[in-house]
Amino acid sequence: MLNQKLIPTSTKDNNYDPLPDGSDCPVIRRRSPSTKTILVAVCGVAMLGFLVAAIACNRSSSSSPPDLNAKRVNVVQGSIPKSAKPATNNNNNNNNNNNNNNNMSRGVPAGVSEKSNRKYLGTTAAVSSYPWNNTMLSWQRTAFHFQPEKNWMNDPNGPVFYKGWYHFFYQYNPNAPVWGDIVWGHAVSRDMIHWLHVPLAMVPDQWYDINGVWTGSATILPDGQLIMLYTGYTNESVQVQNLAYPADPSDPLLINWVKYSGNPVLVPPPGIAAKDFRDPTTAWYTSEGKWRITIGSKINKTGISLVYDTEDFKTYELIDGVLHGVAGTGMWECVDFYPVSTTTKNGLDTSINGPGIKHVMKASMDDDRHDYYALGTYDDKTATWVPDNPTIDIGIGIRYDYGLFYASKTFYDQNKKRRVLWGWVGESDSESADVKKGWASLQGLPRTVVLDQKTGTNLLQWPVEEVESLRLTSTKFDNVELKPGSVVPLDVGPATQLDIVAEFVLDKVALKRIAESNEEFSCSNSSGAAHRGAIGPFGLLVLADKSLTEQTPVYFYVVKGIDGKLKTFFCTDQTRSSVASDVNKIIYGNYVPVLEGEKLSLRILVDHSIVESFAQGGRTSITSRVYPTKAIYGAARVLLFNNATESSITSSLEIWQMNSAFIRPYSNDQNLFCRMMKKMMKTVIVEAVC
Amino acid sequence: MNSFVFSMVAFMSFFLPSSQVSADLISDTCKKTPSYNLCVSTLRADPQSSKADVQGLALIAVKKLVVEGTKIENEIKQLIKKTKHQPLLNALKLCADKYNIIVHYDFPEAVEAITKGDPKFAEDAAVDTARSSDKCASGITSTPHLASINKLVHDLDDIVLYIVRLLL
Repeated sequence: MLNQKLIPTSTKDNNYDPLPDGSDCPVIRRRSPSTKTILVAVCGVAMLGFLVAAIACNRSSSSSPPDLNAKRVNVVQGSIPKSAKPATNNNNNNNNNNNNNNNMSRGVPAGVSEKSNRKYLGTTAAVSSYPWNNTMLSWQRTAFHFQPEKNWMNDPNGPVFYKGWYHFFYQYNPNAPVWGDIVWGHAVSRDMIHWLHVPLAMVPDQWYDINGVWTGSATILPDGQLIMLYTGYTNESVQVQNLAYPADPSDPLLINWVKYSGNPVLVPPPGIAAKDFRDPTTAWYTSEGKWRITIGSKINKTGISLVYDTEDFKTYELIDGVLHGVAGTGMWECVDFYPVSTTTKNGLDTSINGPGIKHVMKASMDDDRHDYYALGTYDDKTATWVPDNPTIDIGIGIRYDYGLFYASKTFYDQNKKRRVLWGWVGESDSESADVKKGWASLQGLPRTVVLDQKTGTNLLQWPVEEVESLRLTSTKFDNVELKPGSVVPLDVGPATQLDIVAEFVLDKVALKRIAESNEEFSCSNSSGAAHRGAIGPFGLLVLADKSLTEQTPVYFYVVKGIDGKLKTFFCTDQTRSSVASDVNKIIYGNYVPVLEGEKLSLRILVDHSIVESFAQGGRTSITSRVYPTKAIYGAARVLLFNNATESSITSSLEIWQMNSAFIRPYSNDQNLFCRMMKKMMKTVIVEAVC
Repeated sequence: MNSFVFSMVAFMSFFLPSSQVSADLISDTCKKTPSYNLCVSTLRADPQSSKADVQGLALIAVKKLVVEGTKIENEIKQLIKKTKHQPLLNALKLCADKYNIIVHYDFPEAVEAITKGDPKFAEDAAVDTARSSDKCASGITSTPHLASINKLVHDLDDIVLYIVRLLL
């Protein structure tokens, strides 16, 4: 039935390789020229096809990918060491008639979802359990953020672009919506937005990773070969580094992986504890012609990053000293190290070095669950890195994100010559809600990372441009004036999947008149959007219900300092985000640099229970999890507000409805069918479904 | 006489340190928790504690926590069968719900995280346990026996939490 002339040609994809079943994944941009009869025939077939596509896509989304059960090792029995079982007192527990297996066996879902904890301790009292129902809980699943179909996810692993596909791996618990029994999940995409789940890439099946297949990174060698280094937790409770590579390098989907027979390739060196040695980075090439990696650790309370050189990824030389360390910061997890250009807007391959380059070093602080980065200079000869400004060094300076964002990792996307950042966004609701809804955690939207050449002292993060392909209709608002203490509802239709871009201009006359203040402001110590100052807060209320009982303000707060200079803060206020009391109610945010002559600008992506906000082109970002009980589905609204006491605000904004990314399992049948459909017509429906 | 006493003391001081060090570790560790006495008695009750490092002490504390938590979960279930008084029944059902999560989700997560050296997830589990036992507590004030085990669970959990913090 296929017209032989409509053989797909891909005009822009140079790296394209055929899929394993020999079929092509087309990027058809031409419609076949048609007369009226052909058009009618095509429409008729298309309608039939659409019906079948809908059925095929439903079927595929409910069937699990092949191999899943075959590949998965039953990790339950081996994973709990004897000392953990309540040994001598076990007899008491034998009469338990729980409907789950008990006695510490992990045959059923086990574990609890991640939360940012320390701040909770003071608030454990008087927190009641909200009666979450399925309507509220199922609304929380996102439309265009990466998440597996169910259960727990944490760190991003080994992100890479390979043979025409973006690959994303992640720490995954196949058994429960809580951390535990960790394996490598895997998904593929052509555009980092429309993800397709494929089988688990690696599971604990060797003595050197039987207790956990933990975080790792990919390195692409100059000849195109891909290798993966990852942390394994051995049968003797030691963190080691292992080498793995694709079983079939010609498979662009990288379904099957092989672990190097000589693993582990690295064990904790002398002086480093068995449990303080994890998360190897992508390798970079040194001037001596070797590959170099860094691995975070700690000595007492000093966070450090060890350096190893290798020529074959199998044998390594520990380099004396450390790449860098900062006292008092504790264990450094998920270290990342990469160059940024001081002159161009492109990303750089991890191996690039030379003039016009700064190196970013980043680590996840185990102690406070935040990701910090610093800009500095790398010395290849001594294998050391020095921050530009030691007062804002790693662990004590700038964070990638002032909300929930951890274990982040970048990769160089050679396809579009950009550096892309992934970050794990955990839950901030209760664990029983996570267990009820059957899943926990998201990934933030992939973000490009570049040096902010205007300030020179921070990075800019911005959602990858492919996010914009999800934009549907938009509503524009020009020059909306908001007097002090005003709220303006924005009529945009549904308000749970939005891309908001807004600019704000302060009232210059009021600014001159306003008295200087020595207010020491911080988002987290303020009373949120209710904290009225002369020049703020002002911004947007997202996921608000009609009565504004539930609302999540994302806003600026400006202080005119005693030197007459303005200082701007960017915050997200969760205090009234939900009437439920068992969710995080902290106010997130930080100072954001605003240069002379710049308007205040922000971008907010609302996607059900996640709100990602960026200020001043990405100088400061805040990712928040929001769990409303009323401001859901059609009841959610978005409003502009200005709660300042003295300054008016003029705002211009555009708000797009965002499509779903239809993240679902990869299916050969569906792909074949979608190819057929795409050959015949390109419509929003086919694009969405395929 | 004095020199004899002195030399005996000096002689014995060679032998004391080895057990003294571990007893000191228990004492030092427990000083950093909110319930020093409960912590010391819990840890000392386990013969492994004298040779354990901080990670080992954390596991011993979790072991005890699991015992008490599993005990109360069972008791709550038994009591639900016998209770007709609706307000108490509702409170018990809430507790059963909470302890289901604690025993089958929090505890295994804490054990795995401590054992495998990623203690932040044990911290999560301990914080969740504390919040859950708080939610249970407010409804069972009229059943003092349950209330006291629940409080014990909470106190043991606090000990676990503070010891785990030392591992971060």
